[in-house]
Amino acid sequence: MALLSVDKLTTSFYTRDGIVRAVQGISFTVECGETVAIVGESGSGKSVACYSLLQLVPQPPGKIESGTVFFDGTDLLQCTEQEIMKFRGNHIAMIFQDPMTSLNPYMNIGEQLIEPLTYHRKISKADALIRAEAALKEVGIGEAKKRLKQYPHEFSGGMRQRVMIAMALMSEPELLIADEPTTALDVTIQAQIFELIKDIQVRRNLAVIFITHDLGVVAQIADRVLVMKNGKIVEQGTTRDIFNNSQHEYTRMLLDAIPVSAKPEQYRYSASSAKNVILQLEEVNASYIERPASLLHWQEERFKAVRNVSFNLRKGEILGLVGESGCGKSTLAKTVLRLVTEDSGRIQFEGTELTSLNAAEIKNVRKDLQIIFQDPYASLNPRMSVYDALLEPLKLHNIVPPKEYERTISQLMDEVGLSPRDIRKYPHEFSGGQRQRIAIARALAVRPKLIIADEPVSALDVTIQAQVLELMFHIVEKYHLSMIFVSHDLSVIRYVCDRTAVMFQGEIVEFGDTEKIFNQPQQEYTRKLLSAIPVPDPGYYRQP
Amino acid sequence: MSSSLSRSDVEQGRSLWQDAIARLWKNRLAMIGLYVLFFMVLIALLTPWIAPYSYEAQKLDIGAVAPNAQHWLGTDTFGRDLLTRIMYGGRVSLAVGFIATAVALLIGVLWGAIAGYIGGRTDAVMMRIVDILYALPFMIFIILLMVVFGRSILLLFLAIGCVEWLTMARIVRGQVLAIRHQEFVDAAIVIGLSHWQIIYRHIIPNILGPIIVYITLTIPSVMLLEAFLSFLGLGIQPPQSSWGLLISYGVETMEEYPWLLIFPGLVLSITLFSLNFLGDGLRDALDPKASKD
Repeated sequence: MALLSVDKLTTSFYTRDGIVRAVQGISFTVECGETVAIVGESGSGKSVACYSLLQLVPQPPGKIESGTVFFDGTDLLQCTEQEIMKFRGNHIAMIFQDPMTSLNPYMNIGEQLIEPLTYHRKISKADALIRAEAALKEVGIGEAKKRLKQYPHEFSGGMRQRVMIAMALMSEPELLIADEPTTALDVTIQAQIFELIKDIQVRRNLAVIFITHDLGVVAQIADRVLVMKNGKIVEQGTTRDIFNNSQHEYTRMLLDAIPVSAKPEQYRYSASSAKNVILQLEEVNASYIERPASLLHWQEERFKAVRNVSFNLRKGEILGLVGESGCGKSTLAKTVLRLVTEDSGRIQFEGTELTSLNAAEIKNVRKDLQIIFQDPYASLNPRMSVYDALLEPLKLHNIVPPKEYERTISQLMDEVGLSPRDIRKYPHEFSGGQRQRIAIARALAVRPKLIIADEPVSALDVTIQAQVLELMFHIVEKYHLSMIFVSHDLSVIRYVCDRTAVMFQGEIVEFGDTEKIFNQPQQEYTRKLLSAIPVPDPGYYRQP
Repeated sequence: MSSSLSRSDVEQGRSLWQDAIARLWKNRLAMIGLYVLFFMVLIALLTPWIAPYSYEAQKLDIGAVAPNAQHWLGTDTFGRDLLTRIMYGGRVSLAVGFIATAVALLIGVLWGAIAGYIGGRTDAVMMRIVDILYALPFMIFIILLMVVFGRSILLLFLAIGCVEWLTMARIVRGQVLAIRHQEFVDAAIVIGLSHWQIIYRHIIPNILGPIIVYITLTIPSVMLLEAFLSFLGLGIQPPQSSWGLLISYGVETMEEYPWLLIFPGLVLSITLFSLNFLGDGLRDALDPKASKD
């Protein structure tokens, strides 16, 4: 008999705007020692489905309408709050997406680790601490005894996720639910965490439900896959079948949207189109304020984020800037945009030395330099309608005469694939992908020559990501733009960029044609980075 | 509703404020609050012409009488008409409430926004100045002002405003710090807006919610502060009146003459309720997410 068997589970949310049917009658089973991946885009109901298993959906507004969830012979949905607490964190453990917020910052790691044990098993604190130490060792944290007394902020993101896994293992669960456990982590750390989970799973015969939006991850770890869309399971099967022989149109769409190839031929930079260099950086050093000045600490503490960076950007080219979090790629982008003042070095933009401009001159240059940010929820002022957001740059730089405002804004919206009918709407009325289109329209409004895109698709679902990348190709081509494309996602970089600079600890360690870097990486770090990318092909991981 | 886009809508490109007014108009409770406040202010302005009696004329022979046909709200122990005194008191209380709060708002928002926006050392120095002023005993500060510049009602507004802005500055600074590092502010810099334009167009509209809530809390506390100062002899002097003074006098005599407490208290409560309804309505109206139309 299956360890977990879910039958016709239905969960709805009763909101002000009506009933949202988040999960609609899904059925699936999980066997002991098996890894089942639930894959789907945001809003597909994959998290709600798993939260419903443990009655963790906030009720109200949520309501588990019907269905059964048999775990080891008990219907979890029939349990009272008291009864289900015996399962939570005991037989069924969970780990969450963001290791930064899922640990209590005021409790040391040891206390947090033993909490479920002392609660569920009534084990003495000393015994529990011994088990906690063993658990930390099991997840590969050295000096475990010392680490038990430390607080969450003393651990890096990857280490915290290891602590979360250790915590999940403490009470020896039979089922582990992992909700996007590596989405917030760098790709090399992600690879380590997968290794760890797999390792533990084999050792303990643990069943794992893995919620993710990343098909590359699925190929790497899952035995079986459930594909969810709009609250329903549209397809389920073994990982190999899903990837090689998918039956449902939506699954194929998801698979097709993953950037796996090199940059499409028709968009590639051709040396003949324009030869001159638009942007030239020489020996640029930059730092950001790590700790602002206060009366007792009059000197602010700065972190040197960019060290001796030199590169050039040719007209009409898309240049990739890739590296893990904290490598200085965003600070570098902001330095070019004059959002961060460099410590030393030269930045020439179309022959103008940007580092020596005064405030008035910078305003003129701003017209030519624009940015698209990662988070389309934070990069638009929530209190400005699309019209106002797009009007602002037009007005400021006198791009068009006032009677042309309406026509220009409608054109811009049309250009980026938004309906001009939505001109009066506010950002919250749009989806993430649409918001990113608004941000692109805003950058285009001043008719810039160079756009810096700082992780522009990292927050988007894979199908939306493909559409937005297509749009970016289109605008670069149409307006003869040059672009610096900052990303941590190597497959996106490969698909988008003509040349790529790999950054590590503030320095560019490798720079050259993208295909060359991917095919013949010269540096140790680049090779490590490339080998950590999850490949969306199960065959790749099953080879002996 | 966005099925069709009328031409005039687009040409005007209705701003947040125009949208907000349209939304406020639909909020019945907020509009009632607005009308009541408007009515109060109107009465206060017209008082010298419409008051039934003189606010200082005493009728010691009748003393305190309960509400009747001549004196709708009764009289106080000196035989002065309570309705008249509440009307005159409203002039002082509303003026103190609105003007002192406006002073606090102006200084506090500017100070807090500048400190939070610039950050770093400027922020450190500006906020320590606020701390030092916080530490100064408020009473000594006001007494000093009164002694140096003489007692005047205008100075009273100023003095209270100068104390209340400190909290406002702290609230605003905290909010600005949170907004300052959002990407849309960086996007605005990249577009080429000046710092003032960013503060005015992007930051202040996003912190109006907490500011409005704080205003609705400040106005009543300022009115009560005035009563306290007057009680100490630093504010309004009898025979002039204010709601705060009438209430504190009413408390002393509430066992024998309850109407002296009930009516001024009622008027103050109605005003404060209206303020809160209007404040909540404004906060929702200025947040595009709060309502769907």
